[in-house]
Amino acid sequence: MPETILTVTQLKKYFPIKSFFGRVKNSIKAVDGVSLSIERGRTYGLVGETGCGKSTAGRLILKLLPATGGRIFFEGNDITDLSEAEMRPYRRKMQIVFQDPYTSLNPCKRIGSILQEALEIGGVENRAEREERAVDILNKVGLPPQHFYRFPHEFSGGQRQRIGLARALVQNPSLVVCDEPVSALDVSIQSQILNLLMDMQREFDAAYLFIAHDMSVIRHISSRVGVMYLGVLLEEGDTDELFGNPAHPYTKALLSAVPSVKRREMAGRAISGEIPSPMNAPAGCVFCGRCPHRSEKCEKTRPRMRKISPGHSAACVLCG
Amino acid sequence: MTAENSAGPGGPMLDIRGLSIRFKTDYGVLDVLDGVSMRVFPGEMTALVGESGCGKSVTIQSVMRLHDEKRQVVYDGEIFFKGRDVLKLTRSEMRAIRGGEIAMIFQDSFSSLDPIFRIEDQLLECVPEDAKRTQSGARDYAASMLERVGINEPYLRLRQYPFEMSGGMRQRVAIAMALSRGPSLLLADEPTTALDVTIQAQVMELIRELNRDLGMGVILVTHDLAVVSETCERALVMYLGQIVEEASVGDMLDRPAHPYTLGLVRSIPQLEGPKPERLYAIEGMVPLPGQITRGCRFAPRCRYALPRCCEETPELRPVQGSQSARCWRIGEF
Repeated sequence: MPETILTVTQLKKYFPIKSFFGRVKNSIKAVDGVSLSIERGRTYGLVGETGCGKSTAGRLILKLLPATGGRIFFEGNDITDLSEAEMRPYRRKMQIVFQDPYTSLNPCKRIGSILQEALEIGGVENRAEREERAVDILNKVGLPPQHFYRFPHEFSGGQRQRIGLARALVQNPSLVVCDEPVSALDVSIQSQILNLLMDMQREFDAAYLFIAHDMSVIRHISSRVGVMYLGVLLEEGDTDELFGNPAHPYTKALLSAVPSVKRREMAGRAISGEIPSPMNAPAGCVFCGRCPHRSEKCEKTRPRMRKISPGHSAACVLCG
Repeated sequence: MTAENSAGPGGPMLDIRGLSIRFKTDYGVLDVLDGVSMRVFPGEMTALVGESGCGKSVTIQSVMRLHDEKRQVVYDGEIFFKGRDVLKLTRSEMRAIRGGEIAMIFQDSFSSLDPIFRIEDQLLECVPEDAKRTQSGARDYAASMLERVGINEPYLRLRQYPFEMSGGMRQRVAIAMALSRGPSLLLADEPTTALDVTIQAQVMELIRELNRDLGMGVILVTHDLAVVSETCERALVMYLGQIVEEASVGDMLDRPAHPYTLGLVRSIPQLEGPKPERLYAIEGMVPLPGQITRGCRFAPRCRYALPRCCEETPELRPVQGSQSARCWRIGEF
């Protein structure tokens, strides 16, 4: 059995809403009890619509945001309550690739120094070694060495995403959070970057937490998938099982809304309504407002994740 | 064929012939469009497909003549809309067509609405004169437009500001504004790119329904072939300012004739069926308009390119039926 790199249990993030006098009036439950684990060299796909809390979850896991509740275990160690200084040795092993390749690179720095800076912070003291590793990683992500002294504005979106990935991988991390890394790219560039991500995973044996809203991209790259809605995981399973036998009504609705080049007609399938504001999330099942199968029970109690088959579970009263 | 008989019954409502556009910039003159021809028939949805910077938005913006004509743009070619060449119309004639007979919706619904005015103030501006005679008549008309695009509680929504609405709701309002004068041609510039899939399906269903019920011609600009597959009848694929393939949607997706179309179709990850180990990728990237070399514009990225492709420029040639492609090696791969 492969080694588990990351486990989070009941992860929560509430953003308080304060009144004019600073009293907490209410809170936005951006992430409300998410549990998942990722194995070495595997990809966990976290999918959901805008505002479902998938990016917040990614940031909580890297401790870029403090969690309100829950525990984070990285390579077997509980890192939930570590201070910034105590976190430093772990930082090298947990990296992130951002969605927007235009704002995630420092425009005043050359590519070479962006990569070397990451190594310097990661504790590589030998200057020659830093340079060698930076040139090496640039080569691996498919950029010629003459780009070493160029500035970010000289590159296209796809090339910048390669640089972002190089910066994450140069320290040989065991976990990379990929926060919508291909959604800002054109179709032909998107497939180049997806191929590169998979090649690099094989080479570095890193675990990916791949956050995206595109179901077909998630299916292609992930070995395991979690579907999020309003801060809650609604369904989780191995990719083939989840896409082959979706159990939760939301997963089914999401899958049927994705257009396909194989269909020549729109099926009458759009679920009505929109994601409610996380400020007034329903007390019961978070999806009950839009669910075609809702009953009274759904509005009162929030269903727990229940096992449907080995490695596949869903949070719905109709399942399991 | 003259312009007059092309506007007759059964003829195209929009007929773009050999449209070339050059932009004058600080860095010199850029060829943005090169000999684009397309026709749109009433009640038909036509897709204009391509990646960023290929000229698809520029094409439909020139139908509305939205470019800065004093300083920026040089047109060449003809755009016949219902028998009249749009490029020869005066400014006031143009103003009657914009938003009247031809309407447009944009990708970013937040910036196509004015953030400091209520929805009703913006929607009432588009209400036709005869409905405007009484204030309540105008409001009722505006509310009926919102109902038409599937917005519940229209009178409540009329009092709201754009920031109080979600992206899907704002796009519906933008569509309601576009439809309020009963246009016969709708230009939709990436209308669902900024929306979530469940909302995208709702908005595309709405556009499709309006197209069928009102017999409106629609040009859908998009990069998403799956959306095209489910909604459009015909498609034109653009690359670097040229049309590289024109076909019915079925032909384009089932047997693409141009290597670029082939690449686009194959590079999409699928929701069903076996997963490929690696995705098909088009190597390299789209060059800037100033970097165009001679020969076929796609040749530097094409895996089927021959020496001839880098020397001689291919024309759009018929493949089969109504399908045509701009390639020297049609049918060879």
